[in-house]
Formats: sequence, structure tokens, C-alpha cells
Amino acid sequence: MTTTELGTVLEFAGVTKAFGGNSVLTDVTLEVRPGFTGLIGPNGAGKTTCLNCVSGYLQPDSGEVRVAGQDVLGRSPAAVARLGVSRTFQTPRLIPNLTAVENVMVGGGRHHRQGHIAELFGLPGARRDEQEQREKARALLETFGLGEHPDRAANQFPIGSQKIVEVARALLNEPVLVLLDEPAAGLGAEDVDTLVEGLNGWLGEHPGAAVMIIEHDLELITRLCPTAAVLHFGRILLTGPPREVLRDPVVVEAYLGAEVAAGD
Amino acid sequence: MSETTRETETTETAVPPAAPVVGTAAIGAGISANAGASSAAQRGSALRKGIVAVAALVLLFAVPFVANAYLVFVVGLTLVYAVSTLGFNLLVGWSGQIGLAHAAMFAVGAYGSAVGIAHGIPFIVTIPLAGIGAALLAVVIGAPAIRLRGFFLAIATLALGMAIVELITFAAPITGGGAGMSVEVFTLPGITGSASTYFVILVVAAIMFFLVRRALIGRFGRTLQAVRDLGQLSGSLGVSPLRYRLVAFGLSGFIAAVAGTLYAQLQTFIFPAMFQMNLLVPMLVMVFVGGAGSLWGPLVGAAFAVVLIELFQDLGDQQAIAYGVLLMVVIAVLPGGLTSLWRTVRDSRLGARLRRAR
Amino acid sequence: MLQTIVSGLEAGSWFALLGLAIVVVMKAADVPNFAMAEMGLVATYVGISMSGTGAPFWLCVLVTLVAGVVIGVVIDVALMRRLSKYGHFPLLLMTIGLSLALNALIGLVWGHAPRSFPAPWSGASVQLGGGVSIGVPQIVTIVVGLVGAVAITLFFRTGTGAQMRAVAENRATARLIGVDAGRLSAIAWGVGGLIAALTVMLQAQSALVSTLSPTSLIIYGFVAATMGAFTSLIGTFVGGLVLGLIQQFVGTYLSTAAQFSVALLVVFLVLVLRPDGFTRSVRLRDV
Repeated sequence: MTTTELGTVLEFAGVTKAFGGNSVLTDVTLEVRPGFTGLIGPNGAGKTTCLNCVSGYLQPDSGEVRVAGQDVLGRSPAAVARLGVSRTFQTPRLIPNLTAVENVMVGGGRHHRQGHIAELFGLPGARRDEQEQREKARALLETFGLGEHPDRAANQFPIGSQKIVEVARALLNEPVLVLLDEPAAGLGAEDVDTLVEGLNGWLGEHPGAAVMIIEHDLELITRLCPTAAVLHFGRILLTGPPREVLRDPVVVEAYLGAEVAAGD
Repeated sequence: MSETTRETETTETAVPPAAPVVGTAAIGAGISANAGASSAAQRGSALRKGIVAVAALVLLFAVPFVANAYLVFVVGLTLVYAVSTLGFNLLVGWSGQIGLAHAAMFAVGAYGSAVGIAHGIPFIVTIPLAGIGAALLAVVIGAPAIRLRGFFLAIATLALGMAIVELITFAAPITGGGAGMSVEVFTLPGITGSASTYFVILVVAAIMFFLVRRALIGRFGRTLQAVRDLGQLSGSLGVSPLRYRLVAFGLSGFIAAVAGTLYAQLQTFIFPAMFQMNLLVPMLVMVFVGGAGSLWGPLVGAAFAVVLIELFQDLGDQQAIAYGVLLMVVIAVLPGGLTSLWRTVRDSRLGARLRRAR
Repeated sequence: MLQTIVSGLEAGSWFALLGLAIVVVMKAADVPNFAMAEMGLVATYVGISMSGTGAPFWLCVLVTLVAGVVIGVVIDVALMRRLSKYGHFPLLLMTIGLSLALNALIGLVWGHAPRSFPAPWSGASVQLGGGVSIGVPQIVTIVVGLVGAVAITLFFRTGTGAQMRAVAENRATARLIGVDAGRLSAIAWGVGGLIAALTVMLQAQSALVSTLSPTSLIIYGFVAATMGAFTSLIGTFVGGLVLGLIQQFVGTYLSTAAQFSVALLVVFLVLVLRPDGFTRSVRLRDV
């Protein structure tokens, strides 16, 4: 895989998307390199739409989206995931009556070498697969500070922890590209710290991977991301280090404008 | 509200994770809500579970030696329904699809086996044959239907299931039509007829329970639940939701048909009217009472329904009222199914006191 | 041909009305009611019994309709409400249990012999040219069906109707804006019971009804509701009429034995080709 070289992992080239005549993304061009990248912007700027264009839930009207050099256009979400793209969603989407570990294990489909038939008859390969995945899932939960209750049902965790479990699930795949949609929303300060530590730790072990984060908590973006892109009304306004970007008058105006509009 | 405005409103969340589960779409959600206990508890102590299973098997094996013919029949019928419910539960409880062609698949198994035997195929061979035939049929039905959600899926599969049973009626030269056909009963050497049928049922049921349980506690079961609870979003886990939904259809068809072949042996005479709403309703009851999405629920659900059927059905109106009312009472008292009872007790103050006393 | 069309529209009106009753309860109370036909049958039998005592026809009609409303409201308050938080599956089974119990209750009280609801025009017919005659009860059914459908549509335009739609869209939000979901669900069940009583009464003034008739009526009603995607009133009404026509044409020109299966296959095709029914009002539920 191309994960080892420090090239572009995700590339948007002139992506445009409209819903019923309303333009949501206009000529979005963006390169995401290994490491953390923030995608910020006011509500309704089209951030989640960007993610959906990558992960196969939406098809752009024009333009190209490439992951590790491969075009994702026309691929189903599952096919995109098999390219090594993982993601989380704004509200945690866990399987309520599976345990935390099992929820994380659900994310590991890409790395199973044995089919369901082997599993059905309890063949050694399938058992080994299961065991390896379980251990990896446990280790990931440890990384994110949830190692204490790995066998508790997912719906018994507070919302914040559920979101972190979802992040862990997205990482089990050893993805090339991780898309996190507001991972810190609804998290307390301590949870945010664990999230940041966990993500930093994971990226340290997977230096070729790229993590793109949509987040309203700009402090989190500043802490994690060397680069941030600002999306406003479906256009990329600016790309650069978060501190500089956030000081830019255009960006300030975009955010303020949105806040004034929201205050109405 | 028009479609366009709705789409633009959800632009930012074109995959709206917080979308309120509205109307018919909530069916799956409702099921998952009462699905099984946490699998941590299920795993509990594997050894103890194994011992319980073996003990149950030994007890069931002893039935023909100690019970009269009627009781052997009733226990046999319970096992047949338990196998069928295993498949129905896989479809409804685990994959979250209310597919209502299950009674028809059961009929396909019963008729497939009976017709096969009449044409010289040994009964034992007709079990997998009928199963595979029904699985293929279920996949053919499922292929267009899996895209439908909630009630649409229910009505579409109900319609096709009824059409299949009508087709069996039409095929009178092969199936005897509405008048039905008798089934040649397979007997193990050296054992009387009814006991032999019972042992065959017990062995097949044990194998089916073992395999289905094996499939559901591992990755396959987890993935099915992911497809049920996450819907299309499970695509981002590298899972193709439609493929898993289709496989669930095929598997449930296979299991239903296997149960159907056993049913034909048990009844020795089958006719199309056996496989209509009057069978589908108890089948739904069995899934419900056993707890949608649980592993051992099918056995409990089948036992409940068979007792109910044996006590109340095909008798007068009073019994029919009692049947309906009892069903209503059970639902009203235990909306999570009969198997939720022990959980309710465990979580109650009484349960806590009992634990402390121990 | 004309007779087949009229019979088709007549049967279609029954299916359409029952489908509407199902949709109304579905919209506001979120329950797929498999006991709808039995509810109508109980109400109709009350009316028939009264008519047997020599009471005036219109009084019997009124009593039947009121009985329908009462049955609906009682079922909602006594059985359905407490279950709603457990999802659809228990609710669905509850209505199935209810239909079994009500059916047996009817058998116990009134017996299983077919009955009819004698109206002043029962048996009368209109002669058309070419030896074609159309029964007055058939015309009554079609006209009342149409009027009923219009009335239900208008009802959903009223304040209460709008609130029901709000509840159907989103229960939590509806509660936030101060909608009394309990009251609405009782109204929906009452209206549903009323329409069900009307449907079976229309059936009984033209044909015979018995404890056997609800089974096919409820399935056709659900099929009609499916064609309207369980939300569209117009889709349900048109769907019901089309279903009635198909069913009658198959019965006349193919075979009566195939009626049911052909109708069901048509439904399957409609669902697969147009998963949103005749209207495209709801989409993107799963995503």
C-alpha cells in the first residue's frame, strides 16, 4: 500500500455537489496528507457532505475524489471501506446489545482471512482470526482509556464513551484514511483529553495514515491538526495551520456571519 | 413537505444519523430494542452452558422411553417449531427484516420432502435437498425484497408467501392439490414409527441449534446485528448490508424448509391449508415469546406456542377467545417476550434480595 | 364488462376504506392494526342485531358507527398505549391477538352463519341498456366510499389532522410543540374504528358477512395501505380501487381461485418497482 510513503492520501479535485438545485459543494479541491487534518466551517458549510462523497454515500456531480491514488467514484460504501477508509458518524452508532469489545470488532471485517463457512465449522484459522481481532480490539480500548469494562454492553456506556468506542471501531481496520465526524461533540473535557491522547498514540504507530476531523471544538483542532481547511458555503476558503487560519479576517467574518445568522 | 426541501435541509447530514425513526421504519429498531441480553452474560461460563445443553439433550432423548405417544408427538412438534423459529428469529430478530414468507418456506420443505420421497428419494436426502431448494427460492424472493423496509418488506413477502402456497394448491397432479397428500414415514431400523420420527427430529434439531448458535455468536452474528442496527451505515465497516440481508433470507429459508421436512414426517399427511395465516401467526408468536434476537428463545417460544395450540386450537369459540386473550395478556405483561421474564426478575428488587440472601 | 367494473369498484371501495382506516391509525398512533376488519365486524353486528329488533334503519347505522368509534377508543386506551414504547413488534402481535379474540367473540355471540345488514334499497337494481343491471347497494358503496375518502382527506387538513401529521413525522418534536399525543392517538383510533364500521356495514348491505370475511378484507386493506406507502391517503384510496378492479377482472376472466394470488403478485410487483407506493412522499428513511 501507499501508506508508507508520505504522499497524498485523500484528494478532492474540483468536487461539486448540488441537491435539487442548491449547490452544497462548489469546486472543492483539497489534498490530505498523512497525519491530522481539520475540516472546519460554520454549520451547513458542507463538511459532512464532503465526508459522504468520500465514503460512498453520495456521488459528486462532477470532480474526482481519490484515496491513495484510487478513484472512489461509483464505489459503494463497502467498497470504499475496503480501500482502507474508516469513518464515524455525528451521533454514535453502536450495536446496543453487543459489548464494547464486540462493537470494536465489528470494524475489522477487512482483515478477516477466513470466510463465514470456516467460522461455522469452527476451523482453527477462523478461531485464530477471532482471537486476534478480540485482542486488537481490547488493546485499542485500552489506548482510549476504556480498558476497564470491555465486556459491558455498549448501551450501558455514557454517550461520550460510546463516541470513543466508535472511534476505536474505525481504527481496528488499520485504515489508510480515517474520517471523524465531530468526535468530540458531547464529550467532557476529560473525555476529549483521552480522545486526543488515543488518537496521537494511534497515529504514532501508523505514521502513513491520514485522519481528517470535522469538529466545532476549534481548540481540539488546534491541539491535534497541523493543517486545517475552512469550508464555507461549499467552498474551500483557506488552508493552513489552524492558528493562522482562524485569525484570517475572511474566516472570522464567515464564522461571525454564521453566528449572527444563527442568533436570529 | 416536498422531497426537495427535505433533502436540502439534511444537506449537512446527508447521512442523518440522528434521523428520527419514523413510522414503519421503526420496526427494526423496535426489535433490536428488545433483542437478547448482553452477550457478555450469554458467554458467561461456557462450560456450564455446555453441561446444561447436554443435560437437556439427554432428557429429550429419554422422552420416548418414558412418555406416551401423544406426549412424544407434542415434544416432537415443539422441536420442529423450535427449528423453524430458529430460522425465523435469524431473519426477524437478528437481521431485523420482517419477512413473512416463512410459513411458505416451511411448506416448501414439507412438500419438497413428501414429493421427493414419493419419487423414490430417501427421506434423509430430501432434508438438505428441500433446504437448498427453499434457500434458493428465498434468495429469489429476497433479492428484490431486501431493498424494502419495514412494512413494505412484510407485505411483499406475505404476498409472495401466500402465492407460493396457492401455487402448491394448483400443482394438484404432484401435490394432491387442496386435498393434500400423505407422507411416507421414514423409520429407523428396529424402532417403532413414532419413536423413530422423534429421534430423527431430535438429531436434526440438535444439529441445527448447534450450527445456528455457532454462526450467531461469532463474526457472522455481529455483522448481522450491525446491518440491523446501522442499516446502510454498516457499509463504512466494509460490510455490504444488502448481501447480508439476502444471506439472512436464504438461511432462514433453508432452516424453515428443514423444519418443514420434519413436520411432514410428524404429521404424515399434509395439505396447503396447514401453511397459511393459521401457521404464520403462531410462528410470529414463537419469535416474540422467545424474545426476538435471542439464542435459546426459539425453544421457549415453540414450547409456549405448542402448548397454547394443543390447549386451545380447533376447539370451540371459547377456547379461541382464551387463545387470543392469553396472547394479549402475555404481550401486555411481558412486552419483551417470555425470556425477558428472568431478566426482569433479576433486575428487580426481589432478584437483588435473593442474590444477597445467597 | 361494465358489471365487472362496477363490482371491482365496489370491492375496491371496501379495500380502499379499510386501507384508509389502517393509514389513519398508522399515521397518528404508529400501530399496524391487524384487528381493523374485526373491529368493523363487531360494530356492524351490533347494528344488525338492533335492526333485527325492528329499529329504524338510520338509527341502526348511527349505532353501528358509534360502536366503531367506541371500540377503537377502548382498544387504544386499554391495550395499545402502554406498549408503544416497546417498538412495533409487540404492538403488531397485540393487534393479531386482538383480531383472534374478537373473531371468536363474534362467533360466540352471533354465531358463524353469514349475515347481512338490510337497507331500504337492498335488492334493488338499476337497469341499463343491453340487459346490464347494477345493484343500488353497489352504487351506494362506491358513492359513500368516495365521500368518505374526501371527508378523511379534509379531516387531515384541520388543526387536529395537522397535529396528527406532526406526530407521525416526529413524536419527540410534536411533544415539544405541545401536542397531546395521547388525545390524538385516541382520536385516530376512534376515526379508524368509525371507518372500519362503515366499511363492513357497506359490505353487509350489499353482500353477506361472517366471521370468515375479515381475513381477506384485512389483507386487501393492508395491500391498499401499502400502495399508499402507509402515509398517502390518495395513494391508498386509488390503490384500493385498482386492487378491487384487478381482483374482479381476474375472477371474471381467469379464475376465482387465482384472484387472491394474482392480486398479491401485483402488489409484490408494485412494491418492488415502486417501493414508495403510488406517491413518493417519504424517502431516505434508512440512510
